[in-house]
Amino acid sequence: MARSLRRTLAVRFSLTMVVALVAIALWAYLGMTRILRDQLDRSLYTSYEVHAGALATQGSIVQLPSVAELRLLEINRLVVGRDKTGRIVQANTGLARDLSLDSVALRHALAGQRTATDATWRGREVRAVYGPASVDTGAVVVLEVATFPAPLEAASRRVLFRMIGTALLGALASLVGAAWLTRSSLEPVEAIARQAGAIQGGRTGQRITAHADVIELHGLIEVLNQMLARLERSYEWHRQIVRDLGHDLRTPIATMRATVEMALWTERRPDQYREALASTLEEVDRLTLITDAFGLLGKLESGELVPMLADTDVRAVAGQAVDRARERLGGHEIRFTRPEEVLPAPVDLRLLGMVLDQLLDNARRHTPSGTRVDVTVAAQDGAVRVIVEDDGPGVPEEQMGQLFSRFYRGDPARGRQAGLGLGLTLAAAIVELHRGRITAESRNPRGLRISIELPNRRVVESGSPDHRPEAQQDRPLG
Amino acid sequence: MRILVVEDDHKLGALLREGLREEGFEVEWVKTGEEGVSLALTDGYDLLLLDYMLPAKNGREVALELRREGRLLPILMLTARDSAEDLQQAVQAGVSELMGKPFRFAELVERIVRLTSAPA
Repeated sequence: MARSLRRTLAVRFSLTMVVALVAIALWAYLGMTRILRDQLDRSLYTSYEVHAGALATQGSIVQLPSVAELRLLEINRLVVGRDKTGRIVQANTGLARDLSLDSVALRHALAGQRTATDATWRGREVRAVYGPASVDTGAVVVLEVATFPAPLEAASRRVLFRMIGTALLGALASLVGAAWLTRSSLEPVEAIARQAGAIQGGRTGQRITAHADVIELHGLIEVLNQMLARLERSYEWHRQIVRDLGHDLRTPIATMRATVEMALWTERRPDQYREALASTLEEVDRLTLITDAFGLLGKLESGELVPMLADTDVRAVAGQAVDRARERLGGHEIRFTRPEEVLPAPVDLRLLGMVLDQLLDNARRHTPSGTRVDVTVAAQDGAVRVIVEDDGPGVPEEQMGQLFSRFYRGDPARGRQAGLGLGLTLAAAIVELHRGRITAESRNPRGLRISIELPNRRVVESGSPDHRPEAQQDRPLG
Repeated sequence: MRILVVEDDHKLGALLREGLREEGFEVEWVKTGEEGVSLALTDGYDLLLLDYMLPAKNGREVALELRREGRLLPILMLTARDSAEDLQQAVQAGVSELMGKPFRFAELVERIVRLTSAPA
């Protein structure tokens, strides 16, 4: 189910704001109540001082006038003098005689301590201060001053309601603000998505430019544009492959067509028909080779082909490849150098044979008849190394990096002599499948050296190094 | 009627030479662009049958050089490449007509006859 990021952000932001504002309101309310109560207590203590002074000087606490009595519940204090038992012996108003006694506060007052406490008066809550009478006046030993906190608490509650209202209004404002914020935050992303969606396959050079000047989006746009560049290169590469494949298929088809058409053009002798059929068969074989090579390369690159690894003496595999090449490459001398000791490595016999056949065939294609091809097998640093060297023209420095690329032939004509242009790509893929390493370098003064390193024990894939083929130009070209 | 065939593919080159000879043309076949330019500049040919992809000097470069040297002979180019860019470059280089591979031999002969009989 699709979720709206904008709505989620707005709701979360608003909820956070509501919780925060309500918490602030409650905290303020509690703080304000506490402050008011402290203030009330201080006021009561002040009244206590006044009445205690009056009691000391006049022998009686200050009496309220009758008018004030009428408003006592609203604005004033109830003051009583108590004896040791807590009995009220004096009061500033007759109303005060109904004040309840807090025996704990009385005991503290008798001990000379002032205490603020909650009490009741005719069922209503009052706040009272108990303290000793400053002067012994006989009967009155404890003075109690009380007042009604209800108006203050009512005021506090009104403030609380207003604060909660303010919090809710704030939450509403934050919801609107959050919606605006998320909208303005996501709008560039939507613009980028629209521009990315409008990019069409097959057209190169298309990049995302929307909001590229926004610092926060710069990284995202750069990553997307880099991805587009990679896709573009990949697309170009595949287009080139299709174009090259088309070219490679058309030439043998053209030859087949011309051969058959000319055979049928006029009456021929039986040997001429046989020749035409043999020629056509050769082209069919060539087409088969191309499709097989592509199929194998596809399987290698997709990981579909699993090598049948078995510990094998690489000298023997190389020796068999050399024997096959000697039969095939009549015009070249092949020198085979190998040590006396066995050089075992976990290899797929058939696949490694294909690699070596390919390297030797490659050497034949690119070197003049009568020149020498050297094949060397040796042990080296935990690996078995097979080197194929020729005396041919080598590979131009600028093309060395493409040697293992598909359809590289080093010959712009891409003629029949140059091969399919897939051999070294296949060889590199097979060596990589063995967790090995294939490199190419120029020989001095001329020629090409291709080296294969195969690990002499099985390599765990996760811990294996990068075995991609490398081309080195560490020697001048001949 | 003298035709110069420039085709690096041995089998196709040989087929063209034999087939066109059977059709009564006088045919010479070379395998590289350099040889093609060299012969086309020195000998009088009525038509140049030119492959596009040639070693060292490709068909487009051959056509360009011949036109630059003032040779007006018809050039019929055989090509396995069919991208618009390649075809446009060939025409700009002075190629008279292009023929994609694979081709019908009968059509090739028809085109050669038409190109060689047309006024220069």
